[in-house]
Amino acid sequence: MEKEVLLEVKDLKTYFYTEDGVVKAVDGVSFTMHKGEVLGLVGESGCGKSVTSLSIMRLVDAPGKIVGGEIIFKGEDLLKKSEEEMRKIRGSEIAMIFQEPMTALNPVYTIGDQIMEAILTHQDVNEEEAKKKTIELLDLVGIPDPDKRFNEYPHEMSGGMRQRAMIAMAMSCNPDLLISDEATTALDVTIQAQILELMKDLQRKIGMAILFITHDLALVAEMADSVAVTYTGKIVEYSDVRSVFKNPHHPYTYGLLSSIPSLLSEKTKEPLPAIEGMVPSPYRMPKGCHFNPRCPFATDICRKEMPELNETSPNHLVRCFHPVNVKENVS
Amino acid sequence: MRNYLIRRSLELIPVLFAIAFVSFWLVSKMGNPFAVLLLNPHVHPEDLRRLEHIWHWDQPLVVRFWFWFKDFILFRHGWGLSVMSPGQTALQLIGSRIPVTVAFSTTSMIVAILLSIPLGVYSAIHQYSISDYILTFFAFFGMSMPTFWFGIMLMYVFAVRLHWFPAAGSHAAFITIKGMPVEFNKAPWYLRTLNEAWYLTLPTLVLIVFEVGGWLRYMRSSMLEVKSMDYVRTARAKGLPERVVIYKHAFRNAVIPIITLIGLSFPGIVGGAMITETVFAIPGIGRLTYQAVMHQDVFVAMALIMIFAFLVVIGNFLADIFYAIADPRIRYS
Amino acid sequence: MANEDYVEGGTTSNESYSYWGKVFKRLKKHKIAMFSLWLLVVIILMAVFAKPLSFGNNPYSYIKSVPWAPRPELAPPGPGHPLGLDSMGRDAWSRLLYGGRVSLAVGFICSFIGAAVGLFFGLLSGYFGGITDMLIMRFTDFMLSLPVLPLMIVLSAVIKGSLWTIIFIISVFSWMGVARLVRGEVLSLKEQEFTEAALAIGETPGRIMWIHLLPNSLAPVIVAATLAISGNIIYEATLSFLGLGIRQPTPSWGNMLNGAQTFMLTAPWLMWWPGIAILVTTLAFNFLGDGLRDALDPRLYR
Repeated sequence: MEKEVLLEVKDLKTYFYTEDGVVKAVDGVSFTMHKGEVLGLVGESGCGKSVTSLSIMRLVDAPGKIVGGEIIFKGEDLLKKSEEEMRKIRGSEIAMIFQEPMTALNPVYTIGDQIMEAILTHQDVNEEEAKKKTIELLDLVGIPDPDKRFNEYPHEMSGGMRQRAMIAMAMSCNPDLLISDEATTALDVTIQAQILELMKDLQRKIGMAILFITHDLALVAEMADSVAVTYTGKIVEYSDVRSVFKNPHHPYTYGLLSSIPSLLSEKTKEPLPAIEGMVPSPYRMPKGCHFNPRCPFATDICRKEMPELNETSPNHLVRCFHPVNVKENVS
Repeated sequence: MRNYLIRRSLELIPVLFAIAFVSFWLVSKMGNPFAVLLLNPHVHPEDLRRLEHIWHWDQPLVVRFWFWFKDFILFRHGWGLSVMSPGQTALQLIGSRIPVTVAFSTTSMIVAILLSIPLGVYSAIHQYSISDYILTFFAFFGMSMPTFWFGIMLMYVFAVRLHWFPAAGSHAAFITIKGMPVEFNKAPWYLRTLNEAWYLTLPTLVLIVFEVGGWLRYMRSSMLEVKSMDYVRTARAKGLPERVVIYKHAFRNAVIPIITLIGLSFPGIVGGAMITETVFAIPGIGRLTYQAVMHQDVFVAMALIMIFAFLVVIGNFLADIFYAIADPRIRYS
Repeated sequence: MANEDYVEGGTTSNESYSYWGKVFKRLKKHKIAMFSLWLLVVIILMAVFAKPLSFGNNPYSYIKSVPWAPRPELAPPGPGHPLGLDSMGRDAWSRLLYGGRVSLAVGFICSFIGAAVGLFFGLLSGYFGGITDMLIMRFTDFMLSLPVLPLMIVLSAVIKGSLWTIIFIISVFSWMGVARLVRGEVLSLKEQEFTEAALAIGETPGRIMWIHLLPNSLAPVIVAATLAISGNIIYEATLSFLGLGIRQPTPSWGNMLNGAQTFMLTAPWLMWWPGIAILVTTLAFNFLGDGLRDALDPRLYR
């Protein structure tokens, strides 16, 4: 079942020119998303996942700049579009939801107003219709008493409801791609589960693709069809979700998965294995493979050269000179 | 919301009372208001004592204060006698001087608001541009300027040297109509207003520069802070036109603290008006305060201090009210 | 790990060092602020070395006559008297320099007292909360509701002015802003765990306030104090201009402008220099304060 390609990111590079030096937040990231697919973009804080999503939306602020690559959305390169063309795409074809719903919503306007605004901007309807649609959306995302809530301000709602409202806002124009940037990180675990359910549900109903950005591997396992693991601005492992979780090839992915505590594991009595060291400072990147100081399998070549993304198993890309768990020996 | 208003209004009363008492205590130390009357050879010490008795001046401080406070609240007895202007009560004297001060200080505030808000927003949107640097420098200039000196300089350049504006006073004694000098009070209202506006231009300018200095910077920094807020990013991510993002989303939030600031600037404007009136010899309540202190006119000085205190307190109060109206987070909590 | 390890705002002594180092480094990038800093150093040095810089003139002595003017009063600039003579026949240049001493001293001292008093009230109010907080804040609000300039005028008339009475009068009105600021800082610092940790190891409130809370609240206080200096200099100048502040014959930038309208026509130069001195000094302090504020921005806490 070959699905249509929706988004192709090719060698995206976004650098930040700060007074302390150049930060290569996104340094050659490539991935492909199909219609209706959920891609999980995983990595620790500061590895460039948010910047990737902002780059797709072309919302990167100074001192950041997209310096290279292509973002082919529905066949057209977004990086070549004018600001006015991008504006038409934002909110209507590609929508984004953010981490902190309290600060992401304007405190002085009602949520009804803020959702209606999105509809009125992109669709040719009058206010009354927009209001009706908004109330329907609020209902769709599971907000009780939607006509009352329409007139409420963000601070009058709970965190879970605010995030639902944000989702309603994002969905209002039936986008083809939804970018969820750590949308559930700030929520309680139970609310988190509800929101994820909601997102999955909507995705099925509408056939929307989701770029699901998170640092939480468990969420990825639940939500995603494919996974891309990022480290210091580069993708280090990219495959479908089963392959990555059952057979992680990159030492980093392997380390992340091993450090998840499990009630069922035989290793409950042993100390939790943690990846040694810390994410390097963007101003002092190690030479060669950026992961080498923390990698238990590092050798000389790792300290000198940066590996390319290779297909070590079918449809399973890894950026490593010594991938683990590989059936045939590649070196 | 109504409860909030009521509570805040009630809180004003003890504050005003406390200010009144402290001020009265201080001002009484200036001296006996009636003693100056002794300069008149026709006034005998017994007359003085009788006057003092009528006005309760021979009683202890607290009693004196109580009688004065009652008179003030109820507008009785003209708030006391004026020493500087014999024959007039304090209320009459103050009443005659208030209009001028109100006229030029409110005009300055309105103009300052109309200038500083748009310029502050512009400055923030075009941060680091040449116009931003110029506006910021101008704002600092206005903030740092000693108002009395600026008034003197304006007077020197525009009045004394260039003769574009008059140097002192609030209006001319005579206005020329069809070649004939007409007494000011007998001239038609529009000519009178025009004439006063001409006289008050320089003093108003002094206040405007001072006010714009502070408010422009504040508007700029408020706007800068709001510009980088998450909800502005959300607004852009929704595909809203930049104009809507800036004016509907950013500005609406950025302007809230400015409203508060303007209310809290009342004390500064009061002080500024005082100095400017003194420099330009304008017969307003600012200059009157200075004169009252110099002449040890206790009743007039006290009444004026209470008026200023009232203005300051009202300013704070209005600032709170507007803040509550403008920010739904306060309104509905 | 020693229990001196605090979250966020608290620091080990090593980090403290580089914190101020970082601050200074950031400040250096702010060119106008640095320029203002050097300018202020020059101005302060000029005031300090007023004696040698006066070319042998004295701000108090009445010059009997000058060869280039019929009368010594309001004589224009000439050899030995770069700014001419004032309305009483005294050398204006030396008065400007010595006046600088007074105006700057008043600015600094009032700012310092205001900061100290404000810190004191703010720490108590923020740390103890409850009734202490309520009382102190009510008092602060009351003081903020007073009409400042009118009362300063009354106070100056009532208390016969000497340098220290003026300092007292201005300081009375300059601590409230700092108090509120410090209280806010303390309230947010209290939320952080290191306060609880300190209490848990048995430190007294006094020590906590002095060793932990005070250093961390200092940053905004320094900014506020720097900015307050300019306000205080203007208050002194205004009061002196009205004849109420520093009394003659002691020179101050403000009282040199007293009655400026009278000599505006005959000796306008006497009007410029004290005013320019005030303007430049206050501008410099404002720029410096602004630069400090940017350098001490909480975004420094990474």
